[in-house]
Amino acid sequence: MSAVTQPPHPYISPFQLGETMFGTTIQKGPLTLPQGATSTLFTITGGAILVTSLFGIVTTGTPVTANNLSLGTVPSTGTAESGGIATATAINSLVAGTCINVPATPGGAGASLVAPAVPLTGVAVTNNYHGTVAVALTGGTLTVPGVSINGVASGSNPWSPATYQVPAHGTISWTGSLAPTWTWSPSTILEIGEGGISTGREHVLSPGTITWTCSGSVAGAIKWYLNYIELDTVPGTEGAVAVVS
Amino acid sequence: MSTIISGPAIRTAQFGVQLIKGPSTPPASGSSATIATVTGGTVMITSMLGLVTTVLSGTTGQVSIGTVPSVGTLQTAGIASAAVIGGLEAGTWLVPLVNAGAAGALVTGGHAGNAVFLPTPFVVPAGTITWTGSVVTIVTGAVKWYFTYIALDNGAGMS
Repeated sequence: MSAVTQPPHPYISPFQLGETMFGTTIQKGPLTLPQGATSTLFTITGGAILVTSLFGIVTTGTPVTANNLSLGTVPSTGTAESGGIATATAINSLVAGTCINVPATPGGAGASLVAPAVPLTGVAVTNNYHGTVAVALTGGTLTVPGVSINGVASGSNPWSPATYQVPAHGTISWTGSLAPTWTWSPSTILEIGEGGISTGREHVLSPGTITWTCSGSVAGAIKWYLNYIELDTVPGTEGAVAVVS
Repeated sequence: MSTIISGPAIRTAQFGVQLIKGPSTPPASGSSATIATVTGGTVMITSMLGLVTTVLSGTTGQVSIGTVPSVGTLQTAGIASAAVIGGLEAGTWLVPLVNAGAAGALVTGGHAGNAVFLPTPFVVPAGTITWTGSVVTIVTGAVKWYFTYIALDNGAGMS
């Protein structure tokens, strides 16, 4: 197969082009995992920022030992939330090269979403939210395959109440004789995968620190990447006041 | 930070013109107040974020976000339905969750340490963007609003 490769632009390097797309890039690490503790990943000073991407690449694989990672903030004003960006998500048994991404979620933790009506058995409902939602199902009498996400059986067998992650514009359906009830809320867990995974949603952060918290004390290291655009500028100018380090 | 193009210039290229309003105290229960005015045509709002700059009094006061178009019928919850913001601490972020072509909830971070994630862009015609108090009046406290927008009609803008 023939291929045409365009040479690098003589005036804008690929890195600079990335900055025009996603804002300023900050890299940290590789950093060893916090040992059952919370550590600072990035520091925001001067003003609020819009985080356009925040993800980590596993550089040293993690063992099978149970270990949960959450991302949060310690704002200069107000209450810290260790899971304020992403709540605890299992990161055991990850191989080097695995990507860890903030949620592609609408709203954020604590938001209430209007849920569509539970459909008839076997009928798929589309997630029209522009982000991943967590659908918590309870009750009902379900039979194999129980719950399907994007047409793929995802429920346990036998089925038991659980929460399912439905990606933006994906579908969810159930199979059985008695409909369950459900509630929809924004997904708050980290998105983890090998190979390409989508970037999370942009989110806003105030001055303070971005933290990561691990529940266990195990080996492993992650290199972190953050892109941001300043929200606060010097009044009347185009000078930025927010800086991330 | 980028040395070729400044951060604010990147923001403008990615999200459009920025407008910051306030801080201002939420309107009394049963009243509406203008947050921003759209003139000259229709704009696409690429982000709308509220930052609590002074703790909001009480625990039950609510606000909704809506529009008063120059032509047509006003909707006090046309952008986001009412949500409790009374009691929110300084540093907490708010975001209207516009979704699937209809108004959604006004999402609050709960605490300053919680990130809020951007909704999809939404369109607002010429007129005003308002917030409306309900349940009880939030007597003290203030919110600062950040907008970014793109003019859909030549000459459209926000102030």
